Amino acid sequence: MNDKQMLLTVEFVDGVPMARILRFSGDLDSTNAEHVSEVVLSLLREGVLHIVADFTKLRYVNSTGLGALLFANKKMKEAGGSMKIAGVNENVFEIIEIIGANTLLEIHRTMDDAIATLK
Amino acid sequence: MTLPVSTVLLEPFAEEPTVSVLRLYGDIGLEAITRISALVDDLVEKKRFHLLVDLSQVNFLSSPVVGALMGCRERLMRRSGSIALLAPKPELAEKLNLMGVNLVFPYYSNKNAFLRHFRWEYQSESRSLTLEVPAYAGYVPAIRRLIAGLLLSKGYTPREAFQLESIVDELSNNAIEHGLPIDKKFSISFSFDKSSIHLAVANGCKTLSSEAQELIREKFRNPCIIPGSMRGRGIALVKKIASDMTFRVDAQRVQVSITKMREES
Amino acid sequence: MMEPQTIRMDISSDDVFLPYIRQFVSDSSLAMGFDPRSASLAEVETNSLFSYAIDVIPSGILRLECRFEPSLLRLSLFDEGGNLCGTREVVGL
Repeated sequence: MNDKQMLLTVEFVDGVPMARILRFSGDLDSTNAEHVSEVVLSLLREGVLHIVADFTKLRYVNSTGLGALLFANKKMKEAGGSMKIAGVNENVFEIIEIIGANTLLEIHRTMDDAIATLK
Repeated sequence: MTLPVSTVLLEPFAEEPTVSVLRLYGDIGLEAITRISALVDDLVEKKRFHLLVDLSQVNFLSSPVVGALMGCRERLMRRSGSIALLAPKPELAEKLNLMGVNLVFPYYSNKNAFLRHFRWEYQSESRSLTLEVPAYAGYVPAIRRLIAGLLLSKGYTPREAFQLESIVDELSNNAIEHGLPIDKKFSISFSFDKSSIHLAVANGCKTLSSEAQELIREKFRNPCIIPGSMRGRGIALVKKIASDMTFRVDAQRVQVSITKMREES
Repeated sequence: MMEPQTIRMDISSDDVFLPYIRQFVSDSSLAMGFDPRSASLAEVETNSLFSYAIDVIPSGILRLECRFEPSLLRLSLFDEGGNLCGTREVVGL
């Protein structure tokens, strides 16, 4: 994988065993959106109910990538959980807004804000 | 011809009639200031506001002369003109940089580099890119980053470049995924100048019936975003970001074109 | 690796474009399964091809053909008149 592709890592959240942090880095687009969906489904199978998506290092997202996020959001909610997004840069937020996904996704300014809602 | 130690000459620029060239030779000190100022005054009088200062034969440039050039710059720029430095020798460039000259005057290593910049900046010259690419989604990130990079290199803002990146991404993926390109290729035509961007993405396809063509046209005319839907947002996104979007759907070819005007120059 | 594929690029001759052109070739090489080292070499060869051409062809259009064959990238640069300016090959691993 080159450094222009998206990197996705999963971390635990202190004190919240059923939550995970998903750290995104790079570009989320049609070449890797499916991978995001697979990771989320895999976490759901493990019993994870809450996801905090760290977008601080996410540079770019396209409509397919947003589709994967909406899918993840839907699946977490169906399971009785939640998905939170934080650290969205201006350009990415503008795309989210244009598509109207900002009304469907729970978006926080910082990771601390997002994680605080879990506790 | 052997020139005196300090020489100041003004000449027309053969490749670009609207630009004058101030050629300096040797050690340029205080004694040159009056001549330089007089020459520039004369240029302004003749409504010639673009000046290229050729430093390729200069060994030494005193600070008062640099000050005089700053004054010339002010006079020319007040009239929407320009002044640039051509090919200073490395030792001279280093001294000029210490004086902060590089923060005020653009340098060009050769006249072609200057001409490229000048024609872009003052004559609305455009740049273009045409790509013919195999219909493989793996290439799309490379394509969109290339186009964004070209825009950034010519002074477009990161936000403007990002928006074009989005448009290129969506239209390319649309061509690959929905276009069923018959020859397994699609094409991108991209051109831009200081104030506007034009982009067209086209692909060939298996013969479309009239009904199929009309369905595609309707998708472009009225793309809809269903909240919560995982798909179908690409064209709607393009339409919202672009200043204008047009399309052409024929029996064996689909082309989508956009124009994006700069919001501020 | 896939069957041979060719990317054709016609681009305005402008030195400020060079970093992005070579990045494009590197990115495309990676997309075609080249390892990072080979992709980096492809970038270097693109730079070498273009640097000279941009100097001698200061305006107009340059055409770059990137032909990806099994484990090989052939780069060919042409001027606006279709005259070959140079070629390079990069072995992909």
